[in-house]
Amino acid sequence: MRLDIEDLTVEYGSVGAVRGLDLTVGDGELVALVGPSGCGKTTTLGFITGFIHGRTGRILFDGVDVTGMAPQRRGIGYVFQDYAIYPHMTVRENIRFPLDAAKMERKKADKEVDEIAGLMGVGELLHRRPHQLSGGQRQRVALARALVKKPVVLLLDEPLSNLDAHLRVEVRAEIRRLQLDLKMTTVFVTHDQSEAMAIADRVAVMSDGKIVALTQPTTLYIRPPSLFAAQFIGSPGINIWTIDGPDAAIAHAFAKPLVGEGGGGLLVGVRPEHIEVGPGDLKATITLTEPLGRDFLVHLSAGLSSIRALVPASEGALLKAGADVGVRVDPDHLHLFDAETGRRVEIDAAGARHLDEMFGGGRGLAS
Amino acid sequence: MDLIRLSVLQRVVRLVVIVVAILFTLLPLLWIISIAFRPGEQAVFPISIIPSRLTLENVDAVLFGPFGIGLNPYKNAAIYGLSSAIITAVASTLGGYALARYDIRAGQAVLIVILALSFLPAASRIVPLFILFSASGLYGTPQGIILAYAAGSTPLGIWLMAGTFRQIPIRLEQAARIDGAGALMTMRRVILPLAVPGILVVATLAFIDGWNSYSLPLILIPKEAAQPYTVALQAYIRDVGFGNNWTLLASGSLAGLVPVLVVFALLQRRLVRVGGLGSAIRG
Repeated sequence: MRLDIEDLTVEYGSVGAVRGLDLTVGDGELVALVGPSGCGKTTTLGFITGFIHGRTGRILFDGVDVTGMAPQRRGIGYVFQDYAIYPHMTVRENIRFPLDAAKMERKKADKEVDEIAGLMGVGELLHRRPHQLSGGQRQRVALARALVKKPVVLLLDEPLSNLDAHLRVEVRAEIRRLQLDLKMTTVFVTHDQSEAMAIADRVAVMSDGKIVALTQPTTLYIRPPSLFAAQFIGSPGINIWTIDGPDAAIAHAFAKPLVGEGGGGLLVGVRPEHIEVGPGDLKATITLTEPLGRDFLVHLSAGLSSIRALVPASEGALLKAGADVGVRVDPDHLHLFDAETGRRVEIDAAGARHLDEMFGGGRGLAS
Repeated sequence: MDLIRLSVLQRVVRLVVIVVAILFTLLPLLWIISIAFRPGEQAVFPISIIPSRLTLENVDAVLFGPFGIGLNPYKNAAIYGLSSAIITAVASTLGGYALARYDIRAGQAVLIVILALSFLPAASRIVPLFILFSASGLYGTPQGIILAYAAGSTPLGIWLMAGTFRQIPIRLEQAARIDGAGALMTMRRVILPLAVPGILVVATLAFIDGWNSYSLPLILIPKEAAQPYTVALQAYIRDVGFGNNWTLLASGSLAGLVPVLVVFALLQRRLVRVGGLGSAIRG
């Protein structure tokens, strides 16, 4: 089912939670809504569900306007961050609840429950009550309950936030596999950018009530359309230097291949993993090395500027704080942003600047 | 969490305080029991704390004797109390849910006013009730007294149910909505089952208030056959016991204690929910 949101504006008093948001989720597509707390992602989900009404805005299921339709008639599957499974019912009764609401015959409903429970790996737990389950198990029950009614769209509100780190990676892969198998149109809300990147067909980065980037995960990483997107995606965070500010020296040194002696009004960005430590024209001093396991996070300073570099452990182990080293960057890994608007800037062969078109786009590359 | 370690002195003091508190609570009851089961001659001044012999003749006289009040007054009190409990439970649940869930601006103020009014002693309501009941034909009827009881118990009931409903996460109702359940099904299968402990508390309190009520039925139920045991017992003591037969009074009062204890014993488990709401939300 194809989902369209048009021009959604939601206000809480005078504070705008969502402003003029447009979003299309294609049939069978998983779109992740990601952004810092308070950016409006849960509010958007609430609007899709029907619990939140916008001052303006329409929502369409397969082209049909359902904006005025009550939540219980929309056929939505929803997984809450805190699961919200019924504590006084058994797992079976929990999962069967939507089918009971639809007045399905008991025997048929129980068969459906068995099927989905098997799929979710909770088939052995059907007779238990929620307080006898672990966090991960409760989450699967919540998921099973959402899916048992074969919903037209699956909505997940930070479903992995309450799980242990190990479980999170495991369960998110399960959710993605399931979603692909069922070809389920899905909107996945999270504040964790790596989660969004890992499982989404497209990622919608939200900030302050607006979508500021909407594109495939790899594009978001390789060609972030805005400063905000560049800083939000990727960990450890991207290095940003202002050409016009105290970082001028280092910014110029890196950006020279692209902008020559010009470059006023630009911000230069390089991801830590693309900074090469060792031979290089620019000199810097190592201030701290952090062993992260597979990599080392190396903090350097060059004049007044600081640099974060991510190097493989084999290299990092040889680096010592206080040492002077060279740093260089492959120009392919340079990002340029307009200092005023934050939009991505591309320099063409003639040296002219172009502001990125994808910035602020809502429809993006909808399938 | 570390337990607080008490010195020996602190433990002794704690023990003393607990014992004193227990005695303070239990002594009146023990005294009444002692009075109820002793022969009448031993209940006059100067009085011994422990009687020389125990007897059931007082209980027998009050309940089953030729001039006794019989079991009928207790039955009446039970009917009035139970009816009031049911009406109070229903009214409190409806009112409490509305106050808890709906954003009524005056809601808080209404709740406080309701609660304050409920603290008025029953006796102060007698005259207005008498006038009201006489005018409406409810005077002397069981419906009348039951309504009067319910009206007295409902304010606190609403307050308690509002608190109960506030504790039930609204998430669960939203989840039920999304699952396709209408208002009725949500209420029946999700909300009410979780509210049962609260409802039982409200019903129990209403029952006890009705069961123990004296001044209201004294004025509002003139017919002897319809009176609850509180009124009947007092009349009996006045007429047969020369106004001061304490052993008879004590026996009749103890008989009035039994049903309340039974109610508590039966419901105790259900009044405290085990493994309930804590698991609805991550946990």
